[in-house]
Amino acid sequence: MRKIIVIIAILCALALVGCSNKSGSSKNADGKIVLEVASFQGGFGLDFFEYAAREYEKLHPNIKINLWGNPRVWEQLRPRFVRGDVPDLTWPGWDMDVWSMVVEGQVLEMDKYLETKAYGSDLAWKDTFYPSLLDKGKYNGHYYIMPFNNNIFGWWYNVDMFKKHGWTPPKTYEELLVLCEKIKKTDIAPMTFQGKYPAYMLQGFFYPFAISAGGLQGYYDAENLKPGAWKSPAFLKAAEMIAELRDKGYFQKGAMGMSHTESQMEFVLGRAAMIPCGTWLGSEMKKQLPPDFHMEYFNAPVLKDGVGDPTVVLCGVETWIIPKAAKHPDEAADFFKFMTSLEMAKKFVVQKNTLMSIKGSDEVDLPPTLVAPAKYMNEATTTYGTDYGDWYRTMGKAMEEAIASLLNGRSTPQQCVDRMEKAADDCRKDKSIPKHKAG
Amino acid sequence: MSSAAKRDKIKTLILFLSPAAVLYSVFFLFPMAQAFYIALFRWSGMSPNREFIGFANFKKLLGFEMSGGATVPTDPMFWKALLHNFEFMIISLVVVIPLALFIGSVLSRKVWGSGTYRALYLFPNMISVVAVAVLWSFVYHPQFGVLNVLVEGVGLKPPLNGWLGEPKTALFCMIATSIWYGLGFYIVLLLAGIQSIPSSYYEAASIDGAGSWQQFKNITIPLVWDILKLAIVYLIINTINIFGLVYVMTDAHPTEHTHTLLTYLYQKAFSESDFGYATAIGVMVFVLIFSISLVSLRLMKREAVEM
Repeated sequence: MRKIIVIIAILCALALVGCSNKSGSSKNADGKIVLEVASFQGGFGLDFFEYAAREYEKLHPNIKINLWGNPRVWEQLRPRFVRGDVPDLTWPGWDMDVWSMVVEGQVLEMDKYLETKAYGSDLAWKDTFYPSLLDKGKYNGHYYIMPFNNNIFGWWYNVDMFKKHGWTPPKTYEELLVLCEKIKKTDIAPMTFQGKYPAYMLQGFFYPFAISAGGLQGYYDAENLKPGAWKSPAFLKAAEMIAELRDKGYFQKGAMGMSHTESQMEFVLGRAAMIPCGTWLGSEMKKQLPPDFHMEYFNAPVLKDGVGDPTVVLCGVETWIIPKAAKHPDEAADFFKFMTSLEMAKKFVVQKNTLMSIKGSDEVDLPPTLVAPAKYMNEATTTYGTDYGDWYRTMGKAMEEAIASLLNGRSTPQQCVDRMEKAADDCRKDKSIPKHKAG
Repeated sequence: MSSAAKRDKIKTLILFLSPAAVLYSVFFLFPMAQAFYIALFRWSGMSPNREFIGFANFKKLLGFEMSGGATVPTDPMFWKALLHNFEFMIISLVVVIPLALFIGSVLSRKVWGSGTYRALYLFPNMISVVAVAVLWSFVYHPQFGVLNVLVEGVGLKPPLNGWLGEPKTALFCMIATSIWYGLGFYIVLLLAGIQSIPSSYYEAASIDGAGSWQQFKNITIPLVWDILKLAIVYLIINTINIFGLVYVMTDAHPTEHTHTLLTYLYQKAFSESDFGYATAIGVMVFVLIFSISLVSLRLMKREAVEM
């Protein structure tokens, strides 16, 4: 009997310890402010952020930074946000719905910090970012979500294969059709894609084609849920272009069933000549890349007589936030400002093989795969993104389903855009979904 | 028994049962009750803020609306996912149970190598479902998959979109994999039942002139009926609860053709931050499993034959 009571008591004690074991940040024994920084641990790892933390501590001896992270950090962060025990600064990773957090008032407004002077510069911190990338994090006229590295999304081609056959990357859709016909005559598939994840095909084919056919404003109208925008003539034209590529057999057989890595492997192995992907392609396939493999980025081909600006590039940023309930928001903002200083940003570009959202950070000895994307970025009049997918997640999924059904031959172009319009319509009519503004 | 002794006995019972009852309540009953409660809210799962919306989630999940002159479900994906689960269930029931019974009866005979076969059949079940899914993804791979080679070998054309990308084949490919994965377990389950039947029954039957089929129908089936019922209900529960295999093999793409209830629930909760709605799906899955199990047990009610 006594034994049972002892066991129950121990269990209760353990449960209480478990409940009270908060990993929160505060002051430690020697009076230092302890900042908790939680980061997604993806292809970039955590080492750079660790390095930045140690450098920052040297500049600010009264601060100690506890940095932690893992590849599924959002799973740990979600329940912590629900119970209000949050880190001071976080990159919560791609599966965290940061926009819901913004809308629900969980994220700190950054406006006052952005007006302060940037590290190592006379400019205001705000002015060190590419404006269109910083604006991605705006809601109701205020800044909430901060950009860090910048992923540019476009097409890639196999340089040696193109050289060997005397092909050149197509600038226009018309050139693309001619090129694909030539490639098809060899045993190589002109194009492959990440069929299991239809977002790649929206970003790789559909939006660039639609913007070329109808201009960027037409795309913003669609993001802003303007009635009829998703089935506009430009969007229908884009769907027809994809259907033409499909029907002419320019996509690799079986691509619809391939994951991102499987299709990228097909490209690396030289069984497909081109693939749409972001600038992370090089680092994602690093281990599989043969040493003599050369690939290069180019913007998706545009219509010869298209009305859209051919220089615009599709960008996505990795997002950092400071939770509103952070214990040390000022220090967290200052540390993030340090991480995004030009000096640190340049180091990140070189060490981690990615571009950054900081102007001038590409003025370094760039890795070969980033030279072309950086050039396109600097020549672009503006950038655009697929932010609607983060704002309206259910609608975003519906768009993916629509493009998948076009690519697998279940939908005609008209049916595809009708489905998209219906999804936008459902989103527009749902008053419970807070609306955002693009453009 | 005196009333004092009775009281003592009750006290002891309570004492011994209470740890289990507490654990069961904390880790099972309470989360379940909480799930029913959360299903009544609109909740992103991102903050403590949630809005009570009554049965609106269920209304959307199960409701119908007029669209273009036709009555359509308000959430067509839920019904499609449900249909896919039923396809999983029906095909698995039709294939797995008869096959497991047949192989189980064959292996119960002392034939040469039956021990090895038993291990072989159970082998897939010992591998993690993720490994099985990855392994079979290679079998179905559109470029170097074995299935392509076989199909092309007999002069047929593999699907243009790949086995797992083609709407017509994706679901059936996954069902085939789940059957390969699960069959061994049901064989072993039924084999245990079959082996517990005394061989004298069969000997007596064969002396009386009963053939193999008659022995199977009149001795094996009635004597393993309880285990068979268990196997069927277990298979039903497993096919409604299917998640890992689909998640790894196709990540539920193309969604309209491969979503199951749980992959849809996962999408709603974690991709679309709609925890209230996802929980409502979870509640429906519970109701579904509970009612189908109950109905199937009732339908299969038949006196078990005592040995």
